[in-house]
Amino acid sequence: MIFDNLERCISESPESVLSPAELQRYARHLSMKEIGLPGQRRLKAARVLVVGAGGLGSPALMYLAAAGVGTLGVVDDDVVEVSNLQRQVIHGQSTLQMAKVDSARQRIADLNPYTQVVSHRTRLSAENCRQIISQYDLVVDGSDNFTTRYLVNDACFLLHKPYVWGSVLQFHGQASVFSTPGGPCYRCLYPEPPPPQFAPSCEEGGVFGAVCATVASVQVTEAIKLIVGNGESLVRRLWLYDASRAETQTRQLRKDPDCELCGSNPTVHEIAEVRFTCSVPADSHPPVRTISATELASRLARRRADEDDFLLLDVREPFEWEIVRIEGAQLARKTTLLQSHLHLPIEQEIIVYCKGGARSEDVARVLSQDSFRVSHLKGGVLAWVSDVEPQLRVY
Amino acid sequence: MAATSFDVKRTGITVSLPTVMQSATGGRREVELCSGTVEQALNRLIEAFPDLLPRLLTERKQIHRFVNVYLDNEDIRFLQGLDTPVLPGQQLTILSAIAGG
Repeated sequence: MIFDNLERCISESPESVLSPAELQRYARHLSMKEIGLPGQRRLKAARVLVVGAGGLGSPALMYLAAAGVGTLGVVDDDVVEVSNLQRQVIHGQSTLQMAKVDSARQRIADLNPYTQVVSHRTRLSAENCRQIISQYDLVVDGSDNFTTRYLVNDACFLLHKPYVWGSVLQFHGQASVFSTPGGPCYRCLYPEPPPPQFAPSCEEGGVFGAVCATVASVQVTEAIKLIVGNGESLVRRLWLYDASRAETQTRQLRKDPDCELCGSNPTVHEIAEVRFTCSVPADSHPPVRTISATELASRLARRRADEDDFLLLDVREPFEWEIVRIEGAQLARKTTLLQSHLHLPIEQEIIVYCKGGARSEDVARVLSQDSFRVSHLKGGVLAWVSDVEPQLRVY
Repeated sequence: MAATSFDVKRTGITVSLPTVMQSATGGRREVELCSGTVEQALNRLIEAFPDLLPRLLTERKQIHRFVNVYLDNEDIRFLQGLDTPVLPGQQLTILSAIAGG
């Protein structure tokens, strides 16, 4: 059993005894032989950390709480925004702009008052990772970036905590269980993170809301199986889900003997932020010129006074244009623009922008290769709102 | 989208591509190729879709460490790597790390 310490908690602590009200609450679990009273007491004694109260963390927290996990840690430094509510079901209209950890705590208190919530309103870092994770028996990762995922993996391995991992993009999901004794770690599967241009975030690439629930549900199931000590775990297997085809598959996942963290000659001994070290052919991404939001604001002011001349193109999708746009821009969707940009006036300077800067950088690169004088807005419309017009909407 | 055959059919292999690479293949997520080694399959794939090159391979023509290639159920790193033979009817699954949550 992975959680011998839970057994000790149960036998030594009267706190894991279930009251009649709790027995009533968990009746459907208690009548399953795979969980039963011993399993339910183990759940009550368990301390689970959920990293991120976002797309994966929201349903994960709710199912872990509903299942009767005694202590749930939530780590997140963000606040609830409208664009979260398409999938982050633990939050709601009434908790907009509230810290996600507080919003989650409020919902969990309503869902299961027997679950204690520990809020960590911070971003996991190399500095705080060990101190936070060491307080828990198991970690469920619902973070949204590679830096955090490698941090959590490394900390879980070094602290001997099982790491229940899941990630999503569009209609696709992946999940597995790492850092169990003798099992592989996340670095065994992906030794290095991809460079940002090859790994669109959900913010950029989109995510189908219900896929988060499916993947989070698999994560919670795996966490509970580990806690109660039942079932066949996803350890050494990679679970793959393609919602658009309603297909699930698993692939064998081996421990990499050359793994830098858990292999036979490890080089990673401490928790540190992972660096993007992989090499991408140099000529595939020549640098492109950027303009800051404040610089663009002053150039737009000069353009209004006929003292400057440039074309400002918004390369996002029409729905994004409807949410927020920069006055004086023209909508020219990336895909359309890349097919028809040769019709643009070659003598005119062009500035392009998107939401966060990734799409506009692509466009600027293609246009500059075709001899246009082009730059793109660094940080996109989000930087514009933050630095120039904070009253506008963000998404 | 259905598997697209532009190479040898029936005796071929199927290569499935991850979401993040489909922008380089015009939206195709499965491609049929003729059998050979993993390296030959990847080269044919890149020949058909040149934008896949930087996403799949390093400058030294090794598979990126954030990409995994499975031959049926097994990671080719634990077979013979790029030299692993791919027989007719077998499936290559290319996976790329995603971090969305």
